[in-house]
Amino acid sequence: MSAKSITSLDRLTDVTARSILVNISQRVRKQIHQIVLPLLGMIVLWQLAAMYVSDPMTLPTPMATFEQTYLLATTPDFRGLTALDHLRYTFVRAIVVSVIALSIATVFGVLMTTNKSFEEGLSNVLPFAMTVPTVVIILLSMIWFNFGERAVIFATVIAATPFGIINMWQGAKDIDVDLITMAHSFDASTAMVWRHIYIPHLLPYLFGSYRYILGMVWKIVILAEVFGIENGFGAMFRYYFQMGELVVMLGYLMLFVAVVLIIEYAVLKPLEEYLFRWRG
Amino acid sequence: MSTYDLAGGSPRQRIVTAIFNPTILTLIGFLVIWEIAAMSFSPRDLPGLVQLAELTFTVVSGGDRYYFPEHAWITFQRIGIAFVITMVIGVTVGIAMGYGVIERYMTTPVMVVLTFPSVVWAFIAVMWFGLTTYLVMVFVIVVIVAPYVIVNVWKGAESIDHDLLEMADAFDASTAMKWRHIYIPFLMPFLFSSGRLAIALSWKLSLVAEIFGASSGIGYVINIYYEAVRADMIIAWSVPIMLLMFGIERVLKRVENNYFEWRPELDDVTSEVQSG
Amino acid sequence: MSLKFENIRKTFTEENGNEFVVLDDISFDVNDGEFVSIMGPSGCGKSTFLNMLAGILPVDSGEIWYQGSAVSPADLPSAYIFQESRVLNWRTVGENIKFALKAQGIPEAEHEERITSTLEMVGLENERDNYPLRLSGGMRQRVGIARALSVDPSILLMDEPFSSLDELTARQLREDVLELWQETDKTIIFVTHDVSEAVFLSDRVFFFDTRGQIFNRAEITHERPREPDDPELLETEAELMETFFDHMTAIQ
Repeated sequence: MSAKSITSLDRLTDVTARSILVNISQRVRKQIHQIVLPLLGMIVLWQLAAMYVSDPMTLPTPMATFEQTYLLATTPDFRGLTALDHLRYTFVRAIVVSVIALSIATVFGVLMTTNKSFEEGLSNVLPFAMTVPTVVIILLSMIWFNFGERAVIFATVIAATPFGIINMWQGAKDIDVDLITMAHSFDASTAMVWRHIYIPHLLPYLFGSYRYILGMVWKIVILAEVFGIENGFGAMFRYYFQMGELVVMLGYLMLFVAVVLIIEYAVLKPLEEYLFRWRG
Repeated sequence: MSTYDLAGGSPRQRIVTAIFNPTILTLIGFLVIWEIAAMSFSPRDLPGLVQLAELTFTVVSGGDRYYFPEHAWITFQRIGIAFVITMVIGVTVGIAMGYGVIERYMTTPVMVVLTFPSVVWAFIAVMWFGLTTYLVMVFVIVVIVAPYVIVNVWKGAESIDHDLLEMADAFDASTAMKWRHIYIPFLMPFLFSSGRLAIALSWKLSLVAEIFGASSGIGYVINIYYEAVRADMIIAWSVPIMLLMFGIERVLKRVENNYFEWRPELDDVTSEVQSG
Repeated sequence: MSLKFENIRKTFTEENGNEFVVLDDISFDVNDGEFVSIMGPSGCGKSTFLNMLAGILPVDSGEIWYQGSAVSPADLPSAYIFQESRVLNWRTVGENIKFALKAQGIPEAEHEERITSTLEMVGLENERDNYPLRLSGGMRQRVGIARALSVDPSILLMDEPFSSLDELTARQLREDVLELWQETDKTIIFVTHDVSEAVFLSDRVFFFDTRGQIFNRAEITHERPREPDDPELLETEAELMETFFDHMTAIQ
């Protein structure tokens, strides 16, 4: 490589670095406008509403609620578990269920794109599976599996998977057939076609579907935990609901919302954008 | 017989192709699995197909301990009231957002509210309002479904084709004409799909809310049978409305496809939202 | 002298507050039944000029005269044919034309007759109850033409109506438009960036430059009917392009 091209490369990286800096400061400004300000606005509105109601049993102030969250996270409850322990239970269930649901959805999603009969059969029957109310699935599964861990997992998998399959199928349908034809025209081997076309194309959908599945699994796990299990966020919601402790319930809710939103928008989404930046 | 008639052939052949239709096969497969599973369970946990049909018939005809028509009717009223309120709020706010600047400030709050599990809303509503005939159910449905409708209508309002409005100006069309021929037809598909989504979600949500916040309605009865550990009755009470809701959904889809004849294909939003 | 533009000027204010001249002192006349093209590079304000005539954009200063009296763009008996067809996809072909008729306040009793006759003129009499998305791009553009013709304007404004079509379809439509023009005696103001299109269609071509001024007024005297690939037309095109490039280099 000649000296001249090295300097131009240097300049190029320099320019790139500067544009990244500009980019970052623009992003920070945008995020202040789109995230920080609206959140502050919501808290202010909440505070005003709480002051207007002026009854902590009906609507506690944001500060009281956040304090409650802190207390719950640091001190063990009557079962000797902190809110973080319950979070761990719910979290592990959600991860296990979402991985199982994604695996099933991937198998069926790919089968549907590659096999016409499968596509026709499932695309007509799945909508019916989707009309089954989640709460009915949960109650039945509780009875069938004797109100335990397995009941929660089974119910959530059954409730989430049909939606996951449809999502996978719709993503996989968009795979660019032209690229495959192109690859064959260059006599690319099957291994090369898989490595350079199928997998890079499927991965974003897989990732996107995972995000989508996890997004709904959280809430189904919570609902399942409400019925007949002793730990996890859902069980806590039910317990403090029956005790009439709105502040504690909201304390749990704030922790839940924060964790889900952080995983969703501060971890998975940026990771997705980074991994699949070629999609522009 | 014309040469284009692909489904042609002798009547016997036609019956054979009809049976080997993938949809029917999948359905038959599902029923067979159900029947086999039912053999190894107690009928109270998983009734066989015939037993289930009998049970369902008893329930629907009002022969059960709880009078189905009455409970179903009150559940329908709740869904109906909530549906109307949800659509009114969703459409007004959605259109306002589509034409305003508040949009960029609304995304985060909508995201936060959508993260609340439905059951927590039901708990909050019961703590606020106690056991009620309508209020808790209607509140839960409106609070959860309205954001989806708002977002959906807002997307529609935002994507209005300004070239067409310019064209209308070039022909001196009045504001009334612009609404009638451009804004409303443009928003129609979004309203329709929002409506379908609202119906699909709201009946599932009303069950959750009825379990904790009412002393009548299908959800209330289902919870009683849950506490009595009677899976067969839970199924028998939910099958009729499930079939009905599925039927309504299909009919609306058909109507939608006819109504939007001009449109080649429409995204199906109802398949994207789970009610958890 | 039926239509006359005097010192038409249009400026836009940029986001940073700078004034930006789009059209500067445009003056020219158009005779009744004449086919006039406005030709120029992108950003020369040719579409802006047409949008002002259609009443979509306000005129900053200058005067428009029609049949001897000063008028505002709203008073011009004109109809617009857009670059993209801009039809209402949710209305049938017939209803799309009805839209224009109603907007222009044409009495209900005439609608039927006008819809039938204009659809016949553009060769779409069989597509009246069809929806636009089921038609080809060329046919949709014909719907746009029929819609404009239906209000029976004396002046047709056309903004690069064929530029988004494939060349074969565009050629067919150009010939059809010439035929319609000769049958109906309309005045046509046609905006294009394609010099061969301008030469093939027009009686006169006005060249706009990027400063928003007219720098060349060319009369195309070739006999009609013209052939698209006629060497004489090609020669005229070459000459016009020559002056165009000379001018563009000169003003830079």
